[in-house]
Amino acid sequence: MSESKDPWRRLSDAYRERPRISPEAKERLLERISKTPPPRRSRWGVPLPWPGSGLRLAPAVTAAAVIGAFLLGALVTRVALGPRLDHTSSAGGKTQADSLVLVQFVLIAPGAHSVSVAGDFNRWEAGDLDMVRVSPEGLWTVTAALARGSHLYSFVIDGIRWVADPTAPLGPDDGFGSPSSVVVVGGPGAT
Amino acid sequence: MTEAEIIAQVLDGRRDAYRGIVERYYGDCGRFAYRMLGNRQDAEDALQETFLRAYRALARYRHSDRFKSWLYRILVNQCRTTARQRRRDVARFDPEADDDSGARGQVDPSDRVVEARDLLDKLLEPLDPALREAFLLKYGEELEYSEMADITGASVSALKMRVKRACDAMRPHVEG
Repeated sequence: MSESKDPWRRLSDAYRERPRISPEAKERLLERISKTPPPRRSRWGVPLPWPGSGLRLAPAVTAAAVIGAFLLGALVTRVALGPRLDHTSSAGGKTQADSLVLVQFVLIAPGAHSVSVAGDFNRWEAGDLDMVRVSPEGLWTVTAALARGSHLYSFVIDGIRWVADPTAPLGPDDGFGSPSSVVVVGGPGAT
Repeated sequence: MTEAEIIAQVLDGRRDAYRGIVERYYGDCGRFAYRMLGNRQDAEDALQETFLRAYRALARYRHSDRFKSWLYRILVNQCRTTARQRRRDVARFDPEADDDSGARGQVDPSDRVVEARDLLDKLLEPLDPALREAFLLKYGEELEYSEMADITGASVSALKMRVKRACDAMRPHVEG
């Protein structure tokens, strides 16, 4: 530490003392690994390129990008078109119980390998609600049935990068500097 | 066996080779997760998810990146997710729940070590999570700011500010 006085050094030493994680936990992990299909190389035999560089958007998508005009991060250009509350399309509408509403999330992330939506509706589990890439330009989408009311969510790109939806109102900071967004489901009457 | 060799074997379908990665990093990752989350159960949960996600994403790892940084990026995000899910910040370090008697590594728990450990827990507990995270990466894991930025997604200047604020908050209790 820059504050290299002895008490700071002792703290640093205390940090290095590893807490004992139960050996059973490690064995459980290895067992789960043994039951998980092995990761696969890309078909070219090399890791896929990192998100970002060089992909051009088709004009229609570019127009959307300009309208959105959001650049999220230096490496990846992502334009979030946001969640759409859909009550009328064939995919949308009220659910059987009339208590859930289908919400479509849309994101443009040309360089992403995977995108998911994490929010209070899925315990913030990255990877629980995977988006599907529906265009070569990197348009990702997923539809989820959400309860009426307001929800906080973030997009999770490649499993590690959390970004807010720039077209939606910002939610409260989660304390880590990872922004979240707010979607209100069910119209003005929702709370 | 080098990391590159282990990864190549896993990508060739040898799942058991991943044990080499787990053995190499489990302890260090556990140390960070425990200090971030404040109790062993959450740390173990975060470790499970971290290593599973790293396993599934291994084909996307680029050898030009430092593997530890890549893994820590997943770990840091997983700790954030676990913290969001638990919302336990008010009772982070719970000595009753952890029952520390004999539960810490192989270090001889001399009075001084125990004292420093308790002080560290006490100092970390009230810190804002973002400050705690930056402080631990800088002074616990001894990473460079550029590497921290890559891991956390925060800018170098923001991270420097977080570390400074963490040190400022802790200083009166450390140098008292």
